[in-house]
Amino acid sequence: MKKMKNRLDEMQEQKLLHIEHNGCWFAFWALIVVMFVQMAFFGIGNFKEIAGEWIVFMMLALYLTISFIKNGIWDRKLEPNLKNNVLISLISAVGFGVIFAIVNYFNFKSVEAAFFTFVIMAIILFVGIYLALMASTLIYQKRVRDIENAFKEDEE
Amino acid sequence: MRNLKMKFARMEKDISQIELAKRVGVTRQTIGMIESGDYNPTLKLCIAICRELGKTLDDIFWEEEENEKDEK
Repeated sequence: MKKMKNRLDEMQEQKLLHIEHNGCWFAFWALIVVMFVQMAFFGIGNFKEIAGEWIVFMMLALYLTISFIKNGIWDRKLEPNLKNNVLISLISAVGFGVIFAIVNYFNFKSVEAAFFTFVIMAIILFVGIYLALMASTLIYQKRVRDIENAFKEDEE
Repeated sequence: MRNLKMKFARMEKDISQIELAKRVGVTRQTIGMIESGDYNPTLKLCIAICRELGKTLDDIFWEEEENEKDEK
């Protein structure tokens, strides 16, 4: 099949990419919000209710993570190091722990159960996120070394 | 930062924004945005514009350091 000609010039192409970028991140965060809202109404353990959103969210998250690392990109502002990884894990664990506690309160109307959920979820999330970040950091650093070495070879 | 050098070079040659846009293969909007300083073109487009206007990259796109600092 003949490839269709791009009708946009470089400025329009950049604007389009910017719009698509905003749309992608809107979808990413909207999926998280939708999953938590559904959990608040249908219960935390009711995975069937959020399965569709969860699959799309995980595919999007995996695509972004793999693409970033493959291209030797981590973040615009943060360096991947022990201090930052601990800090990000802590903030994410507390933030999502609070959301899980609120969702739990919606389901069971118990402050004690909500607090217990917060503690358990915060610990699990902290460990999980920290391990995922450290593993990603190691892969990212190896990838950056590979890219740099490839360019060094080109110069010779 | 407005690119007056490009605008004057285009006027010297008596070429409209639409005509220049056609010649370098972009939209008039893009030429307008480059002249008003709202878009930084790629090197490829800079070279195409310079060729059409009979100027060098320095003539159209080079800015003295002091001018750049003033803009910041």
